[in-house]
Amino acid sequence: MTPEASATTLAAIVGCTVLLLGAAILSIRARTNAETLVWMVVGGIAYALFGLAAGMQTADSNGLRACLVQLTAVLLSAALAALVIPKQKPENLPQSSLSALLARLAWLSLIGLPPGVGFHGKLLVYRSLLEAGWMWALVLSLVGSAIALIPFFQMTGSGRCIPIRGLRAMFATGLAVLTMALGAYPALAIDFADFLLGVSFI
Amino acid sequence: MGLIRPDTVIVNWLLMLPFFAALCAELFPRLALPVNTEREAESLRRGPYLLGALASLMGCLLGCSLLPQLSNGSIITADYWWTKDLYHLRFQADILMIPIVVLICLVGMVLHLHLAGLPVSREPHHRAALLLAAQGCAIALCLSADIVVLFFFLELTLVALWFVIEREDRDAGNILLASVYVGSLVLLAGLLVIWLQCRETSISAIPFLLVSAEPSLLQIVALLLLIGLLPRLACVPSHSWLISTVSSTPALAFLPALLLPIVGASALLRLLPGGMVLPMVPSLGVVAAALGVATLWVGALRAWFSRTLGHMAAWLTIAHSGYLLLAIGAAASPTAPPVFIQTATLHLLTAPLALLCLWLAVGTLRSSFGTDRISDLEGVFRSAPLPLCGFLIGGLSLAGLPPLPGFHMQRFLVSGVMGEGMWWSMTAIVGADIIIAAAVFDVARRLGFGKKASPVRWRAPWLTVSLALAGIVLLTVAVFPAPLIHWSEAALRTALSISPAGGSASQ
Repeated sequence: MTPEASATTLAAIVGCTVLLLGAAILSIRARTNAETLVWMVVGGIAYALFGLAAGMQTADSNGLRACLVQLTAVLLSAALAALVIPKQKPENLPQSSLSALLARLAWLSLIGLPPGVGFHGKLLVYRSLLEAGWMWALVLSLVGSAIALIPFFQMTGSGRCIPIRGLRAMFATGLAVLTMALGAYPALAIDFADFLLGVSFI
Repeated sequence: MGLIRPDTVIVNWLLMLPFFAALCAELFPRLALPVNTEREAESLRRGPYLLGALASLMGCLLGCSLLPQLSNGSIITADYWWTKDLYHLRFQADILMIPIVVLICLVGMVLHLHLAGLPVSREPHHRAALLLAAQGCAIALCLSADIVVLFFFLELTLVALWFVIEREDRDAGNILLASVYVGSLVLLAGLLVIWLQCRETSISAIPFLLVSAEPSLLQIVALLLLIGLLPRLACVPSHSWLISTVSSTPALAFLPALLLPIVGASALLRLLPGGMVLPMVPSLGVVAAALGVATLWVGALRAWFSRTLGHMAAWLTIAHSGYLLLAIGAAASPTAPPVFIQTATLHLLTAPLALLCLWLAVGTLRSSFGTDRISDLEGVFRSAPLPLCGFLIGGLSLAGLPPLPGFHMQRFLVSGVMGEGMWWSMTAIVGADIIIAAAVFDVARRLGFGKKASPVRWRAPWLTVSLALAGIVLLTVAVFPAPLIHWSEAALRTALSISPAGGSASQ
């Protein structure tokens, strides 16, 4: 086995294991919303790893681009969710519609639903998996996306979010707007990924 | 482009206002004026809904103004730069979809007026903004000419409706999202296979590129697309979200019950008859026809045994998706005449109008009398005749009774299956029609001539306006069916005319 082939296999196996453990099992078993968020982020990174492995398999830039767009989506959603999701059980927090809305937007982007950039991240990963001919990984990723609804429902059903005001509110709103802007204009995220890769498509 | 006109800009600004109001109310709560009395709160509550109705009316007029340009089969396209080399934000206004856009705007306008008339309504600016968002996404979906854009707006419509229902009842919202999202993933698998096979995401290019595909691959893709859209159409066995929504949030169930099937049927028509050559996928015909008959009969029988009007409307909505599946299934036969696609096209316009009338009648009765149990509403005709008339014409149009609009759709469907010698399909359709008509007449008899007389007088101006509007539109289409039939023929000749040898007439 060549070094490139072994690296591809390793990335695929790590992606698969992390996806199964991170998104499917540990995020459902988490006791607090913060724990759930951590495991969901790990699951999101597993999708990026899948994109990386598929890119190495097909030896083109689409997989690497998918990996970077997915990583951008995960980081933005995680940062947004971390601002509004309480670290402990949220029994005594006052109601805040803005926090609840921002938390939902972050989670929707993490599970790959619009209007966030997570939709495009996952879509590009799925496409690169299909290009690499890895049907098993595509099916696994789609099943993983369906299972990710369980922690999403647990989070939305578990109560209130941290009420945010002032600078924190503006920062969180800015992150949400950026997530949605990249969802509405994915060319920006893809250009950013291309810039990072140093690849020109002109 | 041809779409950037002053009225388009005005519509867009009107659409933005409720979102802006909702955001300002969240970010700057102290800027809002204090509301001191119930009367002030009541008068302010209707504002966002009336604004939404006005925006929808402008959308209707804008759609109608485009019709003369498109009636000769021409199309208006808009292609925006979304990604450089993968997929584009492509839109296409053609004679098939512009009437559907007008229908969505009309449904949105009537729903806004209905919501303005409901007695209790928390956070009206949020709900109006989300309804407008769902409506806008449904319009964008109808106009999309790219499979990725179509999927994006399918999902976004679902998210907007999930937000509306989830704010009212979390479990019902979650069941809605889970059921439809799992279907979306199956649909996505089918779209990804098309993308990989064709190396192109433009819907108009797909039929030519798919011609070279293996027949087995085509069958798999067609089945994935059909199965993926079943939850949106509320077809058996993916109909549970509608029943749980009616049980948990009866006052708002009509929003997903009306919008999601329109969206699902539009996507189905765009992707299957509009994107693939159906006679090349005969296995789709068997599956679609079997699911269609099951949906039709389960819906019709459960509607007959329903104890509440809300559940009856939900089961009739489910039953009506069965007709669409039967038409698509019959069109997938190698010898199928084009009348089946015409039936599916007519279904897309006539069924939502009848269901709109039915759901609004049910909503009006529930909000006026505090219940929708049939046994508690016996004899209600004497105090509220209009809702019962709305229920009757909506239900009988669904049963295909002449001269209501549903009759024309069923006439084409029955003549088609008779011509093909599909006697079992004809038996299933006529049997289900008889059951639906019997169920509607039975409920109308109990509500009209029951012994209990309701002491409540029915006074709800906005509910009256919305219901009367829906009834007038349905009766107008019933009295003047010719434009509807001409439209379906024109759509068949242009946007839906696809053959592997000759290509699409719309190109």
